[in-house]
Order: sequence, then C-alpha cells, then structure tokens
Amino acid sequence: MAADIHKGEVSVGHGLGRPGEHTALFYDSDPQLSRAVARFAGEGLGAGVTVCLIARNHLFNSVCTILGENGFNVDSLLKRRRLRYFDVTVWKDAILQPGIDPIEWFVGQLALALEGTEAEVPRLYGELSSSLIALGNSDLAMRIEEAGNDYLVEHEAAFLCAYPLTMLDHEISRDDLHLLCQKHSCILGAESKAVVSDELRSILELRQRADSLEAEVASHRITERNLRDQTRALRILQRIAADLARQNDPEQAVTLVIEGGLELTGASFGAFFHDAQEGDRIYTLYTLAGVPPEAFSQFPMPRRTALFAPTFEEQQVVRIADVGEDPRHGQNAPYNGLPPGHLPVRSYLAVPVKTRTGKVFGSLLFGHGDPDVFNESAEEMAISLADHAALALENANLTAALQREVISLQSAQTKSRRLASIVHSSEDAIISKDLDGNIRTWNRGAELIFGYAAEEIIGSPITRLFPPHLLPEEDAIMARIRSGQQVEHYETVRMRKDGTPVDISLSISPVLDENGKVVGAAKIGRDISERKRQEAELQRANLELRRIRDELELRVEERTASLREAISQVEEFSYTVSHDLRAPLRATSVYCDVLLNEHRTLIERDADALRCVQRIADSTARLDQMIRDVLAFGRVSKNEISMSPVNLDSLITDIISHSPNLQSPSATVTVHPLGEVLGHAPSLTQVLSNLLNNAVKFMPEGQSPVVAIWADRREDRVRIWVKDNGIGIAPEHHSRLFGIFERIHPKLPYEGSGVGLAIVRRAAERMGGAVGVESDGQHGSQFWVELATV
Amino acid sequence: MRDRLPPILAVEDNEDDAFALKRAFRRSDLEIDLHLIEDGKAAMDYLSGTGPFADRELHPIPRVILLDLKLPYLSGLEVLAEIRRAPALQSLPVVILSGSDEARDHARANELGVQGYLVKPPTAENLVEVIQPWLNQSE
Repeated sequence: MAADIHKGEVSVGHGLGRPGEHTALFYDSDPQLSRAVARFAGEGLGAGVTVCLIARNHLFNSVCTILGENGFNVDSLLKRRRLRYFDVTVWKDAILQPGIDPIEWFVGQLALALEGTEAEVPRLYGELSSSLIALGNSDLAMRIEEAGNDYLVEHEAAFLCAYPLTMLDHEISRDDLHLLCQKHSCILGAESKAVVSDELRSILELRQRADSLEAEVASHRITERNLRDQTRALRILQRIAADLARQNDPEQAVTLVIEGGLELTGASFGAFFHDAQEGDRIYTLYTLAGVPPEAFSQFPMPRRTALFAPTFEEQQVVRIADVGEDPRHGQNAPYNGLPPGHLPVRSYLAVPVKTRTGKVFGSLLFGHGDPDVFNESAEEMAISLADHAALALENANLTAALQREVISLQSAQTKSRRLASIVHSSEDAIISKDLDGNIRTWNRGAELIFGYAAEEIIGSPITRLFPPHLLPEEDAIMARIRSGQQVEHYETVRMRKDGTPVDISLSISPVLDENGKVVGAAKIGRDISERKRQEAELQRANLELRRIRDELELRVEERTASLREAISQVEEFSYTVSHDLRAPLRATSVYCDVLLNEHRTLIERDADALRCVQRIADSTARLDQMIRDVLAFGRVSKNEISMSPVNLDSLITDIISHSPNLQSPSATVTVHPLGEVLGHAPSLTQVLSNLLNNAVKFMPEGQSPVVAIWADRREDRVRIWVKDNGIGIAPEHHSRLFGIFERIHPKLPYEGSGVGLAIVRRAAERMGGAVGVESDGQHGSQFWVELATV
Repeated sequence: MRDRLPPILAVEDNEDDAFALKRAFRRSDLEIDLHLIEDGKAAMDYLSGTGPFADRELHPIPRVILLDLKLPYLSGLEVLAEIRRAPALQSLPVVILSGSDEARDHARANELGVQGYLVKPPTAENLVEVIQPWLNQSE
C-alpha cells in the first residue's frame, strides 16, 4: 500500500516520520499535498503509530479517500483513535480569540491531540501556521512552530507542516521565510511546474547542499567508526583464532570463544550450547561466560521454542534488537517469556557453530540487557568467530582422538609385552595346542613341571603327557573346546618325561581366530603334587587326631566312671562310718557310763580303775566327735549349695540359744547388729557356730570368755568379726590354722578334732567368701569371715 | 492291766544298742512293756500276726514301734514301707532309732512317714519325749 503512495510527485520519503523530525513541505496544489499527507499518514498507520491531522476539511477528506483506496479502513482507524482529525479552521479561530494566550492554548491542544501516544512515535500533520501566515500573522506562526519544537524535545514524535508556494509571493517577507525554515529540521520542496521563487529555490538548494554535506560527514564518521571497530574486532578475532589454534582442550576452546564473543559483540553474557551423548540419551550442556554460573543454574535448559529453534535445529543466525518486542518471544508455556529471575535479555544474537562441511558442534548465544546492542557488524563478527570455533573444536576433537588412539596403542603394546613376560615367567605350565591335539607353544613352567624342553615337545601330540589309562580324557576335553566351552580347575594326573606321575590342575580355554572360530586350545596346568601330598598328610593327621580324640574320650569316660565309683565308695564309706564304726564307740561309751554310774562304788575302791574308765569315756567321746566332724566336713564339700539372703542376727540368736556354753554364765557374748548377707543358711550356721565355739573354748586358766560379734560393710562385701579374749594364736601359726586336722595347741587340754576351722574355710569358700584371723598370740584372737552383701 | 496294754516294739539287732535302749527305757519309768525283736522279717511277722506271733493276746499290735535302720533280712526302711502299705497298720506310730544322723536317712524316713527320729545312744529323756505323747492317747 505504501508503494502506491510512493508514486506521488512529492518525494517525501527522506527522513519523514523519524522521531524528532520537524519537516516543512512547500507545495503548489492541494491534490499534490493530499497525496504527500496520505503517504505520511499511511506509512505511520502501517507501522502501527497514531496519526494526527490538523487540516482543512476538504484536505482531510481527500487524504481519507486515498487511504481508503490503499486498503485502510478509515472509519475503524478513526473510531480507535489511531487516526485523529482536527479542523484547522476551528483551531485558527480559537487561537485568535481575544483574552487567550495563544501559545498556552496551542500547547494544551497539542497535548490533547497526541494524548496516549507516549509509548510510540506518533505522526502529526499541521497547517495551522500556514493558515496564520495567510492571515498575515507570521509572528504567531513562528511562535507556534517554536512551541512545536519544544514539544519534540520532550516527546518522541514526527511533525509535518505544509506551506503553499503561493505564500512566498506576497504573504511572507524574505526574513520571515528564512526564520520559518530555521524552525524546521527538514525542508522539502514539491517538484512542480509551478513557478518557485528564486529566493526559495536558492534557500532550498543551499539547504539541501548543507544537508547532504552534513549527511556525507556523518556517513564518513560512521564509516570511520565502523572501520575502527572492525579493525579492532578483526584484531580480537585474530587473537582468538591464534589462541584457539593452540588449544587442544575443547572445553578451554569453548571458553575462549565465548569470552572472545563478549569482547567482539559487546554482549554482557554469552553461552555455548551443545549436545552430548551418553548411551542412547542426548543431553544439552552449556558453557557460560560473562555471568556467574549460579545466574543460570536454577533455570531449565533452553527448549525448542520459537526463539531458539531456528538456531538449534536449522542452524540459522538470529539477531533480535529487542527480544521483548519480537513476536517470536514469549509464545511458549510455562513462562511465556523469560523464566522469573532470569537475567534481563533484550538484545539477542545466536549463531550456529558448524564446520564448512556442515558438521554441527552447537550454538553460540549472546545477550545484553539493553536493546539494540548487536548491529550487523557484531553479527558478522559472531559468524566468523563461530567459524573459528568450529575449526578449533574439530581440531581439538581430532587431537583428542589421536591421543586416545596413541594411548590405546601404547597400552595394548604394554599389555602384550606384559602378557608375554607373564607367560614366560609363570610357574604354571602354559601350553597351546591345535585342534589336532598337537602342542604349539610350551613355556618355562611347562618345562619345569613335565621335564621336556620346548624344542623336543612342540609338534608332538599332547597325549604324550597322558598316562595310558587317562587317554580317553583328551577326547572329552577336545569336545568341550570345539564347542567353545572352557574346562576349569580340572584335577587330573599327567606324566613327566621320566615317567613319574604328576598331579595337576588344568584350566583349558578355546583359542579363537579373528572370526571367532575355534582354532586350538590354551591350557594352564598347575603342579598340585605338593598340595595333594599335603592334603593326604592332612587327612592322615585328621584321622590320627580323631583316633587320639576317641581314645581320650574313652579314657575320660573310664576315668569318670571310676571317679564316680570312687565317689560313691567314699559316700558309702562315710555312711558306713556313721553307722557301723560309731556303733562300737557308742557301746564303749554306754558301758563306761554304766561303770561310772551304776558300779561307781565298786570302781571307786581303786583310784586307778576309776581314772582308766574315765579316760576311756573321754577318748571315746573325742573319737566320736572327730568322726562326726569329718562327716560334716565331707558334707560341706559335697553338697550343692544355693545362695540367698540370710539374716545374720536371727541366725546368731539361734546358734546361741542352742549352745549353753555360749550363754551366761558360761560366757559373755555381745552381738552387734549384723544385717543380711548373701549365703547358704546351713553353711553359715556351721561357720559361725564353729567360730563362736572356738572363741569360748581356748581360755586361759580361770578366765571367763568374753566374745564380741560385729560386721564391717565395705562396698559389696560384709566382714563378720568374732573377737575373743582367749589365749590367742601366734602369727607363725596363722597360715596352717585352717587346714584339716591341724591343732595348734596339741599339748593343751582343749577338746577338738582339728576339723572345725577347715569346715569354716571350706564353707566360706563355697559361698564365694573368705576367712582370716588377726592375733598376736597373747591378747585373744579376731576371726573374720567375708561374704557378699545382698 | 499293765500286761494287757499293747507294748512298745523295738526292732534292734545290735546287742550293745539293745542293752543301751533297755537301760534308758528302764530309767525312763515309762509304764509300758518294751518288746525287743532282732530283725526286720521277724518284725513284719509280729505285726502281721504270723508264725510264732499268731497269738494276738500274747503279741498285740504295739502302741509305738522303735525301728533301727540297719537290720538283717529286711532293712528298717523296708519294714517302714510295708507298715505304711498295710491298711491295718496305717495309724501305727513309728520312731526311727538309728546310729546315723545323715541327712539322707532323715529324708528317706520322712518321705515314708515317721513320727520321730532318735540318734543313738538313746537317753531316758529322749525316749519319754518321743513315746509319751502316744501313751496319753486313748485307744
């Protein structure tokens, strides 16, 4: 549509509609003007900006007609206020009313006319000053134009003013014409057959020359600047290319490229995206520069959106002056634009990194928070940078592949050498044979085990090593090998060169050619004679061990049986003792008693006879006591005891109540509170009654026994003390005091079997306790027994 | 009157012990006869009224039996067991008179059921203590 308007005779294409442009158009006919204004308006409406016309009614109508002819829906545009019309006659009349400040009024009207266009570059066409000049009010016209310029300083807009060439003939002075031209930034003349005054023509020519010179200077400046920029960029590019050429590490190369790209394009950040394959899955990885990695790490990978797809999929260059304004941006869910928190990106430049042969490495993306950062030159630079990057990446990949190849070759060589040396130095026999069973290789281990040198056996059938009775083994082995199976740790017997058998463990694997066909077998044979010998020995030793163990068990059983018998004999003996041995003693005792009582008068006649009978009675009593003590001692050792809390106070009271010799007036026994112990009540009774009876027994002549019992508690033990005022025990006797049949005072006339303290010790020990004595041998004794607390 | 009162039967084979028992019994002044038998088998014959003891007039069921443990033919414990088995002798008081003070003898006697256990030699006081209670009981 705009193309049709272009056919107009007025060349108004240059500079019209640019922000801040204030153009003066000199025309000679209204139809000509209509076409020029229609083009001015049409271009604006086509670019989506508001167009405001302050014109005569008939001019407005012709403009609308032309616009309508060119496809514009004028009614709709007017309704939506994209096209605004103000009758210039109304404005002219209003501004000239007395009492009105015309400039203030005009500024207010202008603001109202362009209301709501702050975000665009609206176009305004006006013929107010032209109509004022026609009325001879040039002065006001100048001030109006000045106010228009003031508006343009504050707002982005483009103004077009029209003046009829006829005006020059009489309505405006030469000076005013110059002044008027100065108020406009651009003067256009309509090419017309009409007579243009010489004055205006010279002004126009001068003006146009000045404009073109100015434009030329500006263009030179731009060229110069561009050249400077390009030289600088080329230097940078050269430097990057040189760096890249030295770089074998693809990652380092990518970093160099991105950093170089930032320098070349003026981007604030850049990234290199490329696909990496791992198994069947393909990942997109990226390298960043210009921002810390954290700035992007929280965002998902760029997807195949309208913005990214052309670069990622079609390897196209995409340059966008302002992403926010671009229709391709913000079309994809979920974000419809940048994810929240994303760095602001307005300028966007993306170039694919591919070799000339078409191999794609990835894409270089650059961005900046400001719009319009990347110009054409930046794009070109980015493209050549991408070329260098592709080359460097290819080189780096090739170098890496070469290095891997070299390393793998080296390691294969090393492995092969190592294997050969292992085979050679192995103590195991490593032998290979072909499918006919003939020996092909023979290592030192085989020489040592079988006694054949390599040269005398290679080529011979393997069966040369077989003892005759094991020959069928070979067929079974070969059958397995032919089917590609292995034989592992098969223990068998082979023959040495000297004919002696050798136990070996065989592992046999098929040898395959490059097509996977079985061509032979590799055997590893280990001499296990020694192991076999050791196993046999171990078995013999085990048998012997078992025999000895059985024998021992038998002996133990025999011992146990004989011991059991002995024990039962001892038990029987002690039973017999208590029954039968004591019977004659009882009789003796009874008969002594008869003599001493019923026949006393008779035997008293002879003092000797009386004394003899008395001695018999005493001895009998003592022997009986001894026997009873020995039985008691046996019982202490033999019986099972169970431990439980025992109240010592009641136990002592019980003992004293059954023993007259412990009671007044025979003795003075003082019992301090004793509490409880962990013990066995019958054993405890034996212990304490023995100690108490001892305490009152060994008294110096003429003294009465004084005994004290008390208890010491320390932590988990109780020590029960029994202190007497007897004759005491010299320290040298303390050690044997608690032995059986030990009597410390054999010459003294004290009754006793020498078993009592042995019973005390045995009973205490069986309760997990201990006994002891403290005495200086002069001032009585202090016996103690120590037991566990409850 | 006194002759007709059932006697105390003592089973004792040892002469000396029998002597000591009789002496103590005499000294005890218990107003009852003491009948001595020398072995276990004879004791059972007496109690069951067989053989020489068939005449219950001469050999009535005793008031109390004093039983030694070590006896010829049948031991004291065997005699005790038989007594406890015989329905007619269920209520016969048995007192053991033994030289043994062994716990196992006490235990075995108590298991079978005895009314007393005296360790030899018996004294007059001991005898009164174990026998008197049974004499005071009316038939």
